[in-house]
Amino acid sequence: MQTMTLKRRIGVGLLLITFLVGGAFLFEQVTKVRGSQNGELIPVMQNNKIAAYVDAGTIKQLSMQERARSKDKNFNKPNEVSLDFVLGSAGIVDYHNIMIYAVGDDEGNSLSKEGIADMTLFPNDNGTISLVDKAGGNHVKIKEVSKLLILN
Amino acid sequence: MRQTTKRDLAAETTEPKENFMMHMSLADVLRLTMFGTLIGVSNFLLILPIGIPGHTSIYWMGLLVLGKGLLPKPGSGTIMGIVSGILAIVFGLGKEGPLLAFKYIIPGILLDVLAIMFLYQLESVWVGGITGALISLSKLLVNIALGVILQIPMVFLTMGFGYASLLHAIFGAIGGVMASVLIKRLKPRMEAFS
Repeated sequence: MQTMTLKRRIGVGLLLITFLVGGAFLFEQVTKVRGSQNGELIPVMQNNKIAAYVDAGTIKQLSMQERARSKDKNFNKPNEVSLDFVLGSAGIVDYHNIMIYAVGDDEGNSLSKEGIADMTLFPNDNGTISLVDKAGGNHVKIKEVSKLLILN
Repeated sequence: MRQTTKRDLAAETTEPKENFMMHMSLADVLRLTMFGTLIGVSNFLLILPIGIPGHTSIYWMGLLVLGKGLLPKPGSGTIMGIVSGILAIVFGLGKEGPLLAFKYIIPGILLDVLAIMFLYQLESVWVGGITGALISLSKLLVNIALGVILQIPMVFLTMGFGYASLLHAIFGAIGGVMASVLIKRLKPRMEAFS
């Protein structure tokens, strides 16, 4: 049996790296598209560009950070995080209006900066995220959020 | 009687105990333990808060490839991985708990396989670079698998998984190339010494 030369093995190795890195980019794109469609991955958009992605895991992590910062232990329910804190974590602080879209809804709900003060994001069991209005007695405003659009 | 004892003792100290573990002498296992310790300690001390994923691969994969190149025995990568994995758990690195050891052991096992695939030519910069990149990517994959199993929020996805994998491959390759240069310079000295 003829054994492979070292040069050929190096070629195979380089191909393997290319496939793995290329596969990672492909996997990322597929995950983003699928996640955005079913509400498991929420793009936060500003100036027609995606500033950040938010998923249920990120919400849980941000919730822990927000609770750790707050002196009040009953500030938020576990896994719940205020929308303002999420946007701040994505580096978005200078805005006046925000449009929030639900899965399968193209019109969206517009909220002012003052209006989102009592809004929180809460991860659902199926990996999607709901928008809860704390001022309205923890009323679920949007069951499955699909996109956050910063207007101005 | 006394002379015989001395001779026995001399033989005991000069002749390495062959096949102490996985067809390796005790001296080799101790050397590999030293490399494993270096990996564990460097990961504890040298993590930079620069927010670039995979930058630890430069010295992590560099030390793994260097250890494998200087002690080219089957299973040497696995031993380094086990030692560094145990140390990582002791130091409390990561959020994965005891499963963190897999992040260290899998690149070690893969390194053993890749060394065979590349005919133990780790002193070649091409082989060193490719090996470093591949074992660095395996670390990333184990990271993701552990994140999925333990439901740890994965920052990769929000930062860009493709970008993270590209950086892991680049940093791993840099570490591997540096290791292969060192192997080339150190190996003749080691052979002369032994």
